[in-house]
Amino acid sequence: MREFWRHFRRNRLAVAGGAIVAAMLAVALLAPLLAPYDPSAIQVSSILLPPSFDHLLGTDALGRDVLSRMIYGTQISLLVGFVAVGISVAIGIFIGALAGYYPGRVDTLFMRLVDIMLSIPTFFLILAVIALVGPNLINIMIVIGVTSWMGVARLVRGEFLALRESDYVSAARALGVPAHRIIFSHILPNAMAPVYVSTILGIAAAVLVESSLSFLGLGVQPPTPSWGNILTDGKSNIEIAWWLSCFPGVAILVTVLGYNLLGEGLRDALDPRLKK
Amino acid sequence: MQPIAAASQAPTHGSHGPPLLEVSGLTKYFPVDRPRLGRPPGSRSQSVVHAVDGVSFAIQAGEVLGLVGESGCGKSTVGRLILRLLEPTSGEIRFEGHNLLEADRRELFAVRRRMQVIFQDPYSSLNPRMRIGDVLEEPLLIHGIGASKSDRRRRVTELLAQVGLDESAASKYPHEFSGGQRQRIGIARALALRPAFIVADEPVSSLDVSIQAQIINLLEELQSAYHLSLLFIAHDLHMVRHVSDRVAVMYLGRIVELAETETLFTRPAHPYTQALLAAAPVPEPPQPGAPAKEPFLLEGDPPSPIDLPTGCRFYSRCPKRIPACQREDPPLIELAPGHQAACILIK
Repeated sequence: MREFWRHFRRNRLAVAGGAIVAAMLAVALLAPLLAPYDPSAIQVSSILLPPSFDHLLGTDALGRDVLSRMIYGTQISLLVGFVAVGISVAIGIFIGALAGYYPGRVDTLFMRLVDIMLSIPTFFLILAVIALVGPNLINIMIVIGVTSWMGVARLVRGEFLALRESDYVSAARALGVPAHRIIFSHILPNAMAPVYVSTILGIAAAVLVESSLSFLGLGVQPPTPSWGNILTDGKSNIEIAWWLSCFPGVAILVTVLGYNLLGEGLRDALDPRLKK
Repeated sequence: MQPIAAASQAPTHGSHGPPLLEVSGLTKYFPVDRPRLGRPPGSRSQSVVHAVDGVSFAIQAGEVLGLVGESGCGKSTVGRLILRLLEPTSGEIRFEGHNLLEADRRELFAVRRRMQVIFQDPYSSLNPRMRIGDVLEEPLLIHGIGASKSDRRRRVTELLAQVGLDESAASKYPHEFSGGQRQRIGIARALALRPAFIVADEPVSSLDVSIQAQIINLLEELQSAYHLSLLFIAHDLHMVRHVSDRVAVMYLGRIVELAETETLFTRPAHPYTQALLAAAPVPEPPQPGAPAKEPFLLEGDPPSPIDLPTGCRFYSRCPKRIPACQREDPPLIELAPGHQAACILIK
């Protein structure tokens, strides 16, 4: 653990990523305190105002404060990221653990399922499913979750394949420890390191997918603010109000970058062998 | 490959009543090629590693049987097959009246209480994320020993004391211990269920020489205190001589010689055993001027266990080979009561 911190701290980009992630979390949690205006308060007198001291990031076509909307949008983006990745990691661990612990039919079945899932263009699958079940927050989180577990499943399977041959697992089997207990209390805790990395990187991907969906109008529905749907509003006014599309775009970029830097930093710190 | 003639009558040397463990015709082949894409299903390639090929022996209650041989001869596989950690290809294992290969899950679970294992590498045999107390408590919990948590904790303390560790060890993680201490913990885990039989798979090979003696002494103490039977797998001949009542020598998946320890070390019958003994370092080198021992060292490597030679498996390296050895695969035959060897020269 101490070793881990030493490696992690030396990686400045990773620390920067961690700082971005922490800042975003703080913004999401403290949104009601930080937002200067009510994010859905329409003010006809101040439509499409450029950034000023009154409205730091300007206002949109309905006179709503863009900064306040983006602060509340942070909540949505992170909520979708966390819950969707939570679902995908849970599925991935379950399938990967079974496939890795039971070589043969179970393994073949699950890994072919992974291959099939990976061969489907995920984003279009998500679009199609959302079009069918209707775009709302819960559906989006579930659909992103059940279409993005394959990487985790493969990672966990790989770890299990190696760990199931280790002596302490053999010792547990010789003691008669039941399979479910070997899988969950002996192997899984030792197989988690790559899953943490994958979780962090997965959040970045989920944030991006949610923004894309919202941008296409199939994500979080207005008036609930999300970075994606603020961006959509900006699209129709892009010639006259650059701030509407610029700031949410930058927010998405910085967030995804932050998670990716943190994730890669974690990977290097957890596995120093990968370092060059 | 012809069946071993003596296999059916596994040695019951010095026995009163049936042996504790009886292994006969134990065989394990590992397939080396998996079915490939494009081949019709079921048409596996025929290549197999003959890891264990018709091994038979018996162990009496309270007896220590040494099992020696070069790396890769299949000695660890034998241990794992007996423990049912690997599925044998064929053969029979009888333990305390149970036929282990036909035992159902419940019967096997009951047998696991009587049969335990100590592994070679103390660094990989303990779960790095489990406290020692939990490692030792788990078997008790699973087999329903001890009515309460405090009962089980008392037993854990007792186990730690038996292997010379302090009570405080229970709350520590494996990485806080040295190799020798970890091996003590491994022994404590094996003892937790009060087994009758323990497979000790090279229990000291990865320890410092200074620690080896301590661990061996501990094992011997516990063995006599609990009247344990041991299958002591090793490649250090001096260690085996010191610990074992009888010794079996393996070469390429077969037992080539089996005898009482003193007989095996003083009157080895099989050329491979003779070569092994000659190759072992001598604690006291001969004085200058004393007649030098005839060098009798093996050259080369054992043949591949995938493509076994015809005839005797030891032919390619045997210093005493004759042409007939290439034609006949010698069975394990009894030269004297309790002394068996597989070589056509000793008929």
